[in-house]
Amino acid sequence: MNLHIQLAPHHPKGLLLSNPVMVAAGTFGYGTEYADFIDIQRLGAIICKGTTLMPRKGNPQPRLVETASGLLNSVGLENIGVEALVREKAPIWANWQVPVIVNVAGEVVEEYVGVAQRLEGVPGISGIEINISCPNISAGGMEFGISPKLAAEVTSAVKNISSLPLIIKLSPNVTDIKEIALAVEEAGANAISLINTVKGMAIDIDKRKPCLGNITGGLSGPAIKPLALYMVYEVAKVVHVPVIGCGGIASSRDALEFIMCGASAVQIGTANLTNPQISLTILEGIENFMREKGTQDLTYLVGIAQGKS
Amino acid sequence: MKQSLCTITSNVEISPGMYLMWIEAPDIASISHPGQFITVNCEGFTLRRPFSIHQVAAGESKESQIALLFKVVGKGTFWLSQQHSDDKIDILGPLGKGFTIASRAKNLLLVAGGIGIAPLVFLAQYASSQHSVSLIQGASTVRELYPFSSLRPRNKFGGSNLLSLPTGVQFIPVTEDGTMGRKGMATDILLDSLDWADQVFACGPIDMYKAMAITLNPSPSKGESLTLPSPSKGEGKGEGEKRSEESKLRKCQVSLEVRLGCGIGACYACTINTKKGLKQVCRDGPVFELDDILWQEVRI
Ligand SMILES: Cc1cc2nc3c(=O)[nH]c(=O)nc-3n(C[C@H](O)[C@H](O)[C@H](O)COP(=O)(O)OP(=O)(O)OC[C@H]3O[C@@H](n4cnc5c(N)ncnc54)[C@H](O)[C@@H]3O)c2cc1C
Ligand SMILES: Cc1cc2nc3c(=O)[nH]c(=O)nc-3n(C[C@H](O)[C@H](O)[C@H](O)COP(=O)(O)O)c2cc1C
Ligand code: FES
Repeated sequence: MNLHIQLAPHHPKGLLLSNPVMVAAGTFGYGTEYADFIDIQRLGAIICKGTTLMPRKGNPQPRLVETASGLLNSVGLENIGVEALVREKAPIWANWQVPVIVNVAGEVVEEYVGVAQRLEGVPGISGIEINISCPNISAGGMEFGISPKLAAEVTSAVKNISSLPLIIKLSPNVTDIKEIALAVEEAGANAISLINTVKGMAIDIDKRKPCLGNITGGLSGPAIKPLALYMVYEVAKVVHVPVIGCGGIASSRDALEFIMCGASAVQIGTANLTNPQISLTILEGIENFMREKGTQDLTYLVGIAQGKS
Repeated sequence: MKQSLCTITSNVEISPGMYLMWIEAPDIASISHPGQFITVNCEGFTLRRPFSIHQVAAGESKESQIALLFKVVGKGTFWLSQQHSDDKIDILGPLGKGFTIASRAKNLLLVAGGIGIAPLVFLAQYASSQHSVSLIQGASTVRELYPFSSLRPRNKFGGSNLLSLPTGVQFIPVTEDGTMGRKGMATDILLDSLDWADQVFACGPIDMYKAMAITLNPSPSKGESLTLPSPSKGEGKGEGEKRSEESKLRKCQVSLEVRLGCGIGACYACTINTKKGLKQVCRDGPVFELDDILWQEVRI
């Protein structure tokens, strides 16, 4: 059985995953935090916490509220900054078999470029995922993800200076996601991941105020799965680069839905918080499914439900 | 730390709305330290619920069981209250850093506000063989107090599941309505006992900590110097004595409660700002020194 997936087929370095199960930015720290619970080396890839040029403090508490089948978060990109990442985390990753992809965030194009520049030639980093879709910071972030022109601008600016495979992570908070996807593909994205969280909020009726310290947050978890699946379906129909599906995946069935809709790989986010072992359980479920159905190569399933009614 | 599917050995309502649950969890029990916590995957909920380790108990050979003491406040704790012996639950732990007893401390003062007694009973048990322990619990009324068996012999709740007060531990109840022990708040008594204590540990609602912190840093309008109100014998106290009490309170170890996501330091949902920089409550805490927390920034 072959579960290998090439996420950057036209890139000189490529981004070959041993299997399609990745873990999503912001829910898996820097990978090390989960090493006690699962054999992280068996994952397809690890995407680390969103990283900015300087360390960020994030938003005020409370930063989380549980909602029906989901979760609102307003962490606000608290992170250690790219310097500390290169100094403290990358040397650990360099000894790992599992590829680590750095999720990059910023407020202006120059910041994305600055972070990507600092990651050049650092051992232990296999790719970059550009987060143009964070709903939790006031400047930048999602603004880049809602305008095809700005999205393309960030993509080509990073592309010009980086020798790493480049994934662009899209926001669902847009009118036409296909338009953005086509713009970043045109600008040089090697792969496209979607979706980031959906903007939302909740009110504490006893305290008569918003539940989150930041007032609004991003919705994730099973509640957003149908929406994410639809967006993956739409994007996979029009782009030619690999698509990575993300949003509410909590079982191997969920993951297979995304794959059949056109995702070459999947990212598990919120489900890691519910159950730190879930990513490998999902991988095993995909393997069992392929074994039962006699599917030799995972790529055969990618997009198999596209165009069918 | 470990994630494991464990068997519940008992789950009993020991006071109205308060449950004591024993779980067979040898991997966790054998390495748990007072102040650490576990998280429970409550079926059907996205976020795991955190609970302090309330007691550990020996099985056949080594420590093999842990107890949780929890109050039903919402959907997850309600689910937990409906679980029975022999049911399995998914728990993860022990997590976080617990209380630290200073090497030279002899007299330990433990201050609980309501359900905050949960980790302090473990600490009292753990410390009682080597230390003198006073455990103050403040509650609104007698029914909310921890039902140590010796205090409530004819309780309709709990029966033989109740914990007897470990030897060497003095329990001091305080109730707001005066139905048991002294009338007032736990913090009133705390100040009286500071003199005796070598070290102070506290667990309770955020307002209790804020009240303690205000004692240390009264607002400038109320006077620029630090004054520890000490109703009974405050008059006779020398400056030096006051300063030593103040420093005990400053170093008081408090267990903080914030909304947790992962519980393992990976998601940054629980970050608070302290005098020593940003800290993750789940990994760097939940126990912090009172004076390290920037209380005016804490909005939980
Ligand atoms: C480190 C730590 C140790 C804890 N130890 C204990 C313990 O030993 N015994 C015990 O009874 N409780 C303990 N708690 C609090 C307990 O986790 C919450 O009461 C529980 O998660 C509520 O879940 P729920 O689904 O019943 O409530 P929900 O339906 O989620 O909410 C009900 C109410 O509880 C509040 N709440 C929800 N989650 C938390 C939280 N994590 N912290 C504070 N308030 C919350 C909500 O704001 C709401 O008002 C601890 C919390 C932490 C962080
Ligand atoms: C607590 C939390 C923090 C997150 N942080 C980031 C981040 O730093 N960068 C990013 O691109 N996405 C971040 N996300 C979004 C997730 O990576 C993912 O796209 C989204 O949650 C949807 O997937 P899910 O439903 O499986 O969680 C975060 C999500 C959560 C819940
Ligand atoms: S709860 Fe995730 S970092 Fe503390």
